[in-house]
Amino acid sequence: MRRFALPAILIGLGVLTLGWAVGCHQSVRAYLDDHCRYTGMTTDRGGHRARGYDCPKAPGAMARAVRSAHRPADARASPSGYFLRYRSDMVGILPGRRGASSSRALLADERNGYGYFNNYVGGWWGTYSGPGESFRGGGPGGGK
Amino acid sequence: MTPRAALLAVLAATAALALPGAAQARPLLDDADAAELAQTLADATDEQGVCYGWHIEVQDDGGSSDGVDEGSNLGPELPVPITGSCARYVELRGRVHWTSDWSESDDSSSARVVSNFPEAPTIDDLQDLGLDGGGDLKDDDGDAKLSALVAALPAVTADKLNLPYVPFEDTTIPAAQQGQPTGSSLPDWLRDRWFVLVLALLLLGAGGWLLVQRRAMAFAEERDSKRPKTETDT
Repeated sequence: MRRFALPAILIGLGVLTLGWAVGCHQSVRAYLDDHCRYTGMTTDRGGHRARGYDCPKAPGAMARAVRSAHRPADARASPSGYFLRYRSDMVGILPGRRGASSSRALLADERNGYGYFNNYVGGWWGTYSGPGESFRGGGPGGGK
Repeated sequence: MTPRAALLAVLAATAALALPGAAQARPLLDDADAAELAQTLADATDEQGVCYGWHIEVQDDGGSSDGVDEGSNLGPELPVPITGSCARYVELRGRVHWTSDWSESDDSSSARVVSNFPEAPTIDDLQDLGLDGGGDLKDDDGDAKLSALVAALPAVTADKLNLPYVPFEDTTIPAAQQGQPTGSSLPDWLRDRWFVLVLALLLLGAGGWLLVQRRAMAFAEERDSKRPKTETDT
């Protein structure tokens, strides 16, 4: 039986590693819940909803921190803030209301996020019929 | 509509209605896209007092797109005002070289950030945000990459100099034109932990291979032990 000890150990480690990779992944929402203060749901003029957070870092630093913890499928920066796209979520990181070292994060699902941040991601992360539609990307993996 | 926005709209319309052959096409951005990007920079300049622009030199060995693609907060055809109205400026400068079809050399491109103050953004800052550093300007979607790089300059400058951002605005685009999110991406856990998945698969593969090999050895030994001895074995 000793000859089977090493393969059993390797297989056991492989199963544990696989389980950790799949099962212990923290979502970007959980990251924001842990690192920022939830301030409630917000709704824009178009009725799109997002979870609001007050975060303790400046927008750029917060965007880099979120990116470092959870690599986005796509990212955009504009003079108004930073926008990160995940498989099912979109995150907007804007200047905070508590000074230069703070930021405001908005987390929405894909549908609400596309509407909420449409001025900044419209056409880049989906279909679009507004200004500048000719060069916008159409989403990760969506081609041009 | 502000006077500046009206001026940009007139410039874009004039460029679009220009007689054929009277105006040279931009090598990278369409006229309307350049006008929109210039307007974005103009909004940032109004808030921050920093001038922004881009200047990309294009060499097209196999086509007719040689030229310079430039623009700034002053307009889609105007360079960033290095002297005069702006105490501080930030400009994305780059070059694109498209080789001919029969050339053995590959297409190439690069970009850097030029400014007149030490705390200005660098190309590394843009790469830290997940943006390409200029190497993809030569690709088919180089115009989109250029726009993304230039549009990011005001936000990075705001962080570094503690300047205001342009206020976030809800979309003003009618719902029918907003479109739908498209494109698929890998599951988030896979994008974050692909290397751990590879390690797990290697461990499982190695363990499984060893298991099969040693099981075969055990079976062979068991078979040999049961084989009757002959005179040649002694």
